Amino acid sequence: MSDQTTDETKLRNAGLSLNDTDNIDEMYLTFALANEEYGVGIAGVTEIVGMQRIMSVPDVPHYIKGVINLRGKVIPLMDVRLRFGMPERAYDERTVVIVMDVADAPIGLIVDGVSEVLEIPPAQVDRHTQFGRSASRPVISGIGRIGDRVAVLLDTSVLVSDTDIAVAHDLSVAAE
Amino acid sequence: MSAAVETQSADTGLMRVSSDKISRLMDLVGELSLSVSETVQSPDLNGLVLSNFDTAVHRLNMIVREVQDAATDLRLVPIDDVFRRLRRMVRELERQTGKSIDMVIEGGDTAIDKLVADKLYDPLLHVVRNSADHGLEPSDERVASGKPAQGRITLSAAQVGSEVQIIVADDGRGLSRDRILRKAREKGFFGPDEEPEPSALWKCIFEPGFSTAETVSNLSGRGVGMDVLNSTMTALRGRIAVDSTAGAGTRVALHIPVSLAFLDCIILRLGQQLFAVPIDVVSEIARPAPGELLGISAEGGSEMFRLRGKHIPICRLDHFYGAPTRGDADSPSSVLVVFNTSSGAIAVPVDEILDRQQVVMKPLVGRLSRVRASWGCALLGTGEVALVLDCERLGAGVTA
Repeated sequence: MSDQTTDETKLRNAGLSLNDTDNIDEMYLTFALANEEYGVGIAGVTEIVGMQRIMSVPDVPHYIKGVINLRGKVIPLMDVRLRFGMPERAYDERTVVIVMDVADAPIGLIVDGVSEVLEIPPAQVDRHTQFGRSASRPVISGIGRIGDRVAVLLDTSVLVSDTDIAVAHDLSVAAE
Repeated sequence: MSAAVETQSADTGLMRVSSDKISRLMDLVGELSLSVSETVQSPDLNGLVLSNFDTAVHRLNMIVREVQDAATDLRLVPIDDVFRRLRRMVRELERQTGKSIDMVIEGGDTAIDKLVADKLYDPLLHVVRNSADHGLEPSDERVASGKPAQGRITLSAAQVGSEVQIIVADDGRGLSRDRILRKAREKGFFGPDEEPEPSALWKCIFEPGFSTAETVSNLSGRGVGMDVLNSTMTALRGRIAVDSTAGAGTRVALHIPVSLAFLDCIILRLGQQLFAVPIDVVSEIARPAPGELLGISAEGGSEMFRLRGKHIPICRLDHFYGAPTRGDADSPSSVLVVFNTSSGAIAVPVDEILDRQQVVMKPLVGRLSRVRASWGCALLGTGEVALVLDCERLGAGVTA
């Protein structure tokens, strides 16, 4: 719990606005993958760190790049591009790891870069049931409208599961 | 009883501390020792002559090791706490069965990790109950066979190296070889004409579904079967050995590591990946000569390593984990590490043997919990992460 408070402080200090009176459930951290913008609920985010030395581990899917040792915590890293079936891209100085707590387990999401923390009230989130291509729960929980931009909001518990969720690419095009 | 304990605690200045606080301290100590070694091994220091620094580092390392020991110590409790609860249970059993039981406790001051102690009560209760209920004969039967009328159950604990050995022994009638063998043959563990070694036969009673209720001694089940004992022991990284002599009694020995937090390991490298193996399962490290490796194409292909006339199955970790060969293609794994497992020895080829060190164990959570044949992650002094191999499951996977 205290971790989360300090991380929020970090986010605020990093110039990301976070008003104490805001409802945390409506706050999203947005990040970029290629030219698409995605968002995850801020409540699950514990911290954002730069790319670290990744140590490879066996018996994991290809999109789990390995683990990092973050101050004594072992955190598996998921390359979200690979998770979505997007082309792999070499990590650069903008590449960051969003460390999250999903179902009481840590996971680091490797993304092209974080953008900002946004408040997106439910009225500005379009929820459709047809996003998922199968009967399983879709990884996309909704499309958030922020002015003339959109952010694809992700359901992190589906994201970290082993479900096949390669995103249909026409989706993001349609959303633009 | 409890009043007595409290007065005693006041006198000796004992303090109740929540286990969460101790876990937090353990975590911090782990992080401390990691960041010390990270600092000390910093590449920035390469090539510098730092005589005073080295002295300071030496002292720092000594202190860190002591802090680590002291922190580990905090979680250690005497096993007597568990034994005392069992003693009460035996009195209850005496009443229920009408047998007179002499309960002997030895080595009650043996220290054990609190987390382990908490998990030990149920499996030990099961073993003790088994002995009291069905191992020990009724008094008249005992007298008739020339034994003292009072049956005896000995509970003993002792530290052997980094393991605690707990033995439950009784002087009862012993396990029935005939009945267990019959059941084992029914279950297909042994052929109809096979006469297994006693130690191999006794192991059967821990197999899931090997209902002791119909064979040895119809246990008064509390939902805890011998196979549950077995799975608890696996979770605690322990081993069980049973020994029994007809007419003279049964002896169940549990071997459990003292602490779950730190583990004495050998660090291995295969390609880009690091693995840690508990030191006590490594029986040998060998550099095979060309003629000692034997490929067998039958049954999907396997390899054997000939060591002093014996053939040991080879388990390639990259095959086991279904990954494309990640080892260096130019220098095929040149070192074989032989592990002792309960399903026989296995030889695992690696690229390099790096070190032997006390590692800090972290459980596998989230996505990583699905990694097979592993007990957890080991944080190394260098800050790197190695996967701790569970050689039992690795061995079972190879021979199955």
